[in-house]
This record gives sequence, structure tokens and C-alpha cells, in this order.
Amino acid sequence: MSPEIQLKLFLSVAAFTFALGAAIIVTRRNALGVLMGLELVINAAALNFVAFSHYVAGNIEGQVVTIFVIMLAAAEAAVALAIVLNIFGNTQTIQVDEADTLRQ
Amino acid sequence: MIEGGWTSVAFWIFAPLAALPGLGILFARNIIHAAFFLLASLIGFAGLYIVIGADFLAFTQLLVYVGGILVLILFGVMLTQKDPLLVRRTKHLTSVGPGLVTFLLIGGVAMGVVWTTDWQGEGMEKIKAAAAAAAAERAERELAKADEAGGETPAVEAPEGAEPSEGAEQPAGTEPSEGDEPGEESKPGEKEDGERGTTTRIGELFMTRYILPFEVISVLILAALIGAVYIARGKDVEE
Repeated sequence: MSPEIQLKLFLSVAAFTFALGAAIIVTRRNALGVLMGLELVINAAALNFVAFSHYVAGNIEGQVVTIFVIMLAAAEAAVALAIVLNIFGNTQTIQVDEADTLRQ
Repeated sequence: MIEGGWTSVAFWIFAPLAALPGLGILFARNIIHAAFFLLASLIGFAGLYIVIGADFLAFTQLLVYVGGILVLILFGVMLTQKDPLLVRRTKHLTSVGPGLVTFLLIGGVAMGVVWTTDWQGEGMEKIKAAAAAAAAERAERELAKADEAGGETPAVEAPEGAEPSEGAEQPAGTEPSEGDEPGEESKPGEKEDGERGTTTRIGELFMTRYILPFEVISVLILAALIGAVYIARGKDVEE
């Protein structure tokens, strides 16, 4: 396989996962399911960074960017889960179409 | 990177492992099952990182995502389960239309862009040339440092092969320039200095060019940590 085909294969995996993650975000009504879709989207974007920096630029700076992305995803997940737990404490549900308030 | 052989096989193992569990997350009725599908997908992504030669990144992915984020999500799932025996069933039929439209629209556009764009075209050549120039500049600095330290030539010999002209179609063509390094077979993406692992170079980049984002993100993580604790425990403090 030529490098370009390899790059396109990686990008295809990322594109498929990104679309799937977006569909999950739209479809699932459980807030944690939405969060999982978000993780898929973030992972797809991170894979693009690595693939491009490997096949186009030929360096590893995309990996550095991806590590930043992973750190941001970790921070985002922590805050999102705190909010989800707070919402659950207030409304006893985390279905995103039922929980519509952050305070009691 | 995936020049035939076992790496190519590994790609075809890990690519479906990364992409397909998303379908499970989409259709799983039990949110816990969705969490375990996410685990499979994250492991698939880590495998893809290894296939592409990003070993440190793969282990970071496993440690942070599987060991951290996924466990957090599982905690969240179990803490917000009202009655384990009475699992909330998600009614998918109400939102199957929007989901399908989103998937087809985004996936179709992204796939079309991926497969019709000439990634090795003129613009990419410019990017490659810039990257190679930066690598050469770095190599010169490296050379100066190595001269001071006692002449470690292999570290500077590799980037010579990374000239913009030949990197395009055949990254493999640049391999002979560092063929004298038996420890690690030369990979196209690591032509700068292939004898060092990615961990060393990522650490150097963190401490040199990316020092400001590195410090900023550590402050951000601290803020997120404190904010998460405050939001999650705020009610108890009031009571």
C-alpha cells in the first residue's frame, strides 16, 4: 500500500468514528451515553492529528497535540461527570430531555 | 508505517476494533454495555497508535482513557442508576431519524473529502518542505550540541534524508540514510532521529517548543479538578 492509501485508511477510520460519535450524541438520551459519543469524536480527531503529522509532515508533533487533546478530554470528562452527578442529585434523572435545570 | 507485513495485519485488526464498537454504543440498550463497547473502541485506537509508530501515545491513551476516563464514566453510570434491576430503556425510535441523518451527512462529507483530496498535492508538499526545513534546523542545533558533547553523528545524519523532495511518494526511500541503526528499523515518520524512541522526543518537545501550552494545560487541569469537586460536592457543603 502506498503511504497515501495508508493515510486515507487512517482518515477513513477517523471519519467513520467521528460520524458515529456525532450520531451517538444526537441519538442517545442518557447524558453519559452522550459523553461516550463525545469521547469517540475526540478520539477520531486525535487520530487525524497523528496520521497527518506522520504521513504528511513526517514528524511527531501531532502526537504532542494528541497528548494535549487527551489531557483536555480527561478534564472535560471530570467536569462533565461532576455536572451529571449534580443534575442527578437534583432531578433524579440524567435523561437529557428530562433534566432541564442545574439547580433545585 | 504499515509497509505490509504484520503492521498491515495489525491495522486491519485494530481499525475495525476502533471503529465498529461505536455501533454498539449507538444501539446498546443498557448504558453499561455501551461503556464496555467504548472500552473496546479505545483499545482499538491505542492499537492504531502503535501501528502508526506512536508507542508513548498508545500507552498514554490506555492509561488516561481506559484507566481514567472510562472508570469515571462507569462510576457515573453506576452512581446514577436509580434501580439496577429496572434499567432505563432508551427509546431509540424517536431519534433514529436525526441520528441517521447526522451519521450519513457527516460521514458522507468526511469520507468524500478523505478519498477525493490529493493529500500528497502541492499544498502538502509545502507543509512537508516546511517540516523538513524545521527538522534540518533542529538537526543543526543537534549537531552543535552533539559536537560539544562529543560527536554523536547518527542523530544528525538521519534528517539529511528527510529533504522535502523525496519524502512524498516513498517515505521508505529515506530509510537507507539511517540504515546503520540496527536497534530500530527506520520508519518513515521517524526519519528525524529514528534511534531514539518517541518518548524522548515528545518529552523534549514538551519542555521546549510546547512549554507554554504544557504549563497552561496543567493550570487548566487543576481548575477542572477543583471545579469538578466543587460542582459534585457543592450540595453537601450547603446542607
